[in-house]
Amino acid sequence: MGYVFIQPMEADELLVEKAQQGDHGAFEMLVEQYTPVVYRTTMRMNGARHAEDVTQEVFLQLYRSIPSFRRQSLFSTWLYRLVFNVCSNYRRRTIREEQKTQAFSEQDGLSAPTQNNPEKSVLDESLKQELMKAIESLPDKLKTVIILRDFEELSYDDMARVLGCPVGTVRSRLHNATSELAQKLEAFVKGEKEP
Amino acid sequence: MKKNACKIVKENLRGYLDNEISREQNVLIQEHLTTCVDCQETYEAFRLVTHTAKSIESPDVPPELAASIKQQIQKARAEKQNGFLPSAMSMFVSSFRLKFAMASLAAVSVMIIAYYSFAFKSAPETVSVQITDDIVVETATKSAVLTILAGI
Repeated sequence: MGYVFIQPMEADELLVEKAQQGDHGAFEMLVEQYTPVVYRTTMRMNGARHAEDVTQEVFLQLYRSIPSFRRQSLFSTWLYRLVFNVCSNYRRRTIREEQKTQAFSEQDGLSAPTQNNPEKSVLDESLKQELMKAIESLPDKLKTVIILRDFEELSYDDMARVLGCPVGTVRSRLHNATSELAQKLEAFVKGEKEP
Repeated sequence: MKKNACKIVKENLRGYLDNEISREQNVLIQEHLTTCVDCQETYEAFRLVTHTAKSIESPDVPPELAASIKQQIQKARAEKQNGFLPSAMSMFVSSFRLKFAMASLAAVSVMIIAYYSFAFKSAPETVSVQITDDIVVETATKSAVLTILAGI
């Protein structure tokens, strides 16, 4: 499960400041620190097959644009925005055609990895897979709020900062997204129960 | 009245599940859920979504990914430091428009040179023009051409 990404991390802000001044070591530490969260987010946005490429592109863009970061918001907030922009541009560029021909999530490892953890294996694996497929099919705006909330565990306030919209918008998008996913899961569960 | 209450409750169910609503709203929704079957169903459906999502494990990050990113960054840095001028020049020269313009200019220059070379070779050294019976004007055509060219 994701961890709380957005928090006032003074060490991070110091690294960012050093990286802005041209300290390569500081930038590499940022890469180390943020690779997991960027990779997870890109994977959930664009699919596993593209996650590595997109993650690399995010950091290349970060390298180019970090001097222009004004530190008016948290670095992590700014980075999330960059991640979503890169994901969206990448998908427009390369994935749209693939989606027309096949749902990449099915063969892509987007679905949850199976783990032999008895506490967490109570839920049906197929239900998780169905949910991941349903999330994948959501429009970007709804998919983004689900990823930020359910996987990255951001607060509504932090989500609003990342998305640059009012908290009320976050609430309504989350409501719409959850409602859509609930309908799909319900249909799936009913279908499973029927002989 | 009840319909309106259901609408408000349903719209705030996600916030209720996320503990992102006020204490008062929380109490109201809790009370409503104890009596309204329809809202209870919606609540359960929403809970299934959030519970299932939270049970999904994070994907493993490829161990070599961070190292690979650092390599890419180093490459980009080296290009920026060493290759900026050559790459700018190459962009400049490789521009299709520029190439086309240069080729056109060269072709026109060759044609002008060829034309005047031919004109100079075939032109007589002098031309005599009889104005009246006893006045004949003789002019040097090459110098005339040169004068015209200088004027241009």
